[in-house]
Amino acid sequence: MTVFPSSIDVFQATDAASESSDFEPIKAGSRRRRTRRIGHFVFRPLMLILILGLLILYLHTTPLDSIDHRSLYWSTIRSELFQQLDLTLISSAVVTALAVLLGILLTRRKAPVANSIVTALATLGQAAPPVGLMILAALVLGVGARTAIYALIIYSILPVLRNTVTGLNGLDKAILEAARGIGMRPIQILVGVELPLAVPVIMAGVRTAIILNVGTAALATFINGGGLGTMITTGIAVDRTPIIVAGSVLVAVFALAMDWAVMIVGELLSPS
Amino acid sequence: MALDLSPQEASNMGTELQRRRSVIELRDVSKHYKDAGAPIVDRLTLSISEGEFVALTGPSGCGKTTTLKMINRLIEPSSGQILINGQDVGDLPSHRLRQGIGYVIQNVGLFPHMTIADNVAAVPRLLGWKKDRTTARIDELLSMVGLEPSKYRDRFPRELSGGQAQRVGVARALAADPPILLMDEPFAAVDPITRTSLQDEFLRLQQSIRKTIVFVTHDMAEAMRLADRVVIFGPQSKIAQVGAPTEVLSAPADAFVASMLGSGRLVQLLSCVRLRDVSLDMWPTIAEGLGRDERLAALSSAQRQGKDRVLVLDDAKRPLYWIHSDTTGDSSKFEVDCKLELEATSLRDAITQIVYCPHDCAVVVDGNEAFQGIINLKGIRRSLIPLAGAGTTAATIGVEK
Repeated sequence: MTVFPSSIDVFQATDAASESSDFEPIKAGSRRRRTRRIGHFVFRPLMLILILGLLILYLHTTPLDSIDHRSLYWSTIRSELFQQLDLTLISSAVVTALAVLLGILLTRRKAPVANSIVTALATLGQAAPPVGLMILAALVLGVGARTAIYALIIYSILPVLRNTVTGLNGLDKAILEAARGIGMRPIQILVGVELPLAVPVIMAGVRTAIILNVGTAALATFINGGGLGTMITTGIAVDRTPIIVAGSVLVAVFALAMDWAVMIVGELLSPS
Repeated sequence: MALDLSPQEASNMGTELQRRRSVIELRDVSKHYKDAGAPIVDRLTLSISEGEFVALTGPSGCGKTTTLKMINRLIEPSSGQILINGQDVGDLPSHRLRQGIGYVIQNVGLFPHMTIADNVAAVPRLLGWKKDRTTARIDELLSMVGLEPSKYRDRFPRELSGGQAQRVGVARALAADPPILLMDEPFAAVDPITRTSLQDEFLRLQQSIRKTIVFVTHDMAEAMRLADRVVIFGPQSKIAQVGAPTEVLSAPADAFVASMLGSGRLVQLLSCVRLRDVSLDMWPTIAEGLGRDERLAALSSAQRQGKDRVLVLDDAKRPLYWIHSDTTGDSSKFEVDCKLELEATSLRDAITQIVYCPHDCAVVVDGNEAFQGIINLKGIRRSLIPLAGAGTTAATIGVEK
């Protein structure tokens, strides 16, 4: 499970690097960038459809008994899928709102001390192993999907917060001075200049948070939070390989699909 | 309002009237930061009048940029008062104040996510202008700074060269037609050739828009070239000298100013002094259409003054051609090949022209082409010596004491 977040981080690092080199040569650069984008946009869904096809092929060619079948009913899978989606989207939405707001507050002029404290706390949240976090949260708040969402929020707030702070602090100071110098008010500068320019970096953080959540949401099953993880735990409990394989593949495909969706949203939101 | 004024109040009225004429006034303005010992700006008093182009210059860290930024309150002064049109800058909310003052900075600071048009429209939008008024203004400004509107309007800042970006920066600052323009090293980040052409264009622009300009630069030559008045900041944030470029160049207040000006002082002086500032030599002239005898008489009287030629003028005193005596006993004409305009030509340009002129003598005319006198290298030399400082020889000019 932990393989996912780290591999996604690598993706982002390359994204950021090519993003920064996009400033100089215009024509060639943008053409290269566009082909790269189209590659990402088209290749990923094709790959995921292929994997799903292989999974279906595998399940059809493997002899399944009634226990297998019960776990692999479409209605079961669908409800687990929606639970997973709920866990991921709710926690990510809350994290995004919370962390971006916090990030904005921390980058205002008089907050460098608060910044280091909050970042340290957020780092703590991410450093804790997600299973431990889930179970600790369940001990305090009781089991259930709601608790799982709280745990996901604590776990994934750091990347969005860090990227919001980095994105806002990394803006060209001349641009901000010009904005102030021509008479924009702080709120106008924030909404009209700072946030639009920081969107690519913030969205990279949101993407990381969603990927963390989509993977970690599979652990919600341990505290009775539902989700696709239920399939894997069931498969382990009844010792059925097809169920475990189907659960694992679905978790992975779901994570990659979410990542893809977020990437597209990010492209649409970022400045041209 | 009291109707009977005490003498004290009456004299206050007098200063009030004087103050109206100056657009920007700094009174005893200081700025010090808590952690630094010495103030960065120390009790500065300066008055800038309407339409004046003032350059603040001096070594880095002398407080020139701080002074500029205190005018639009990007930096708040620690003490003292800054007035714009007689009103304390602290009376307005700072963003309102800044919307009424154009601001251009070295790194331009265009908004990279907005088109050129949107960048220029930033202030009009803040002021809530109607859309068609803003659109018309964008096109007007882009042509004013030399960028074809249809070509550049929809481009993004990253598609512009440094010089083009700064043109847009100037257009953005001028968008709402503010009476005051603050410029912080605006031409420092571009290459020397672009810088010179930007300076020239900006001077031309200023001829027509007549803004009150405060211009910060560390480049003395730039300050001398552009400004009507130069404020030179010295050590300990004190003003070392204030004056017109010619005044400063011809009589540096002290060794510090002289060393700041460097050895190029005389050459800079040549660029600053215009033909209207020096006394021209007269030359024998006659009206056109006169007979042979009168021409020869004029020539012989000229020859008695040691001059071999006479200038022929038309009714409006416009120089037409030279005449001189030829071997046939009559006069022959030759064209006026070196003609200089009184107001615009600097001594530097005049020297260049005269050096290439076969007669070491240029005809000077005014804006209506009417003859004003002549200038030659000797005349330039003669007018330069008092300007370069009494008793100064070439060896001591610009040498630190």
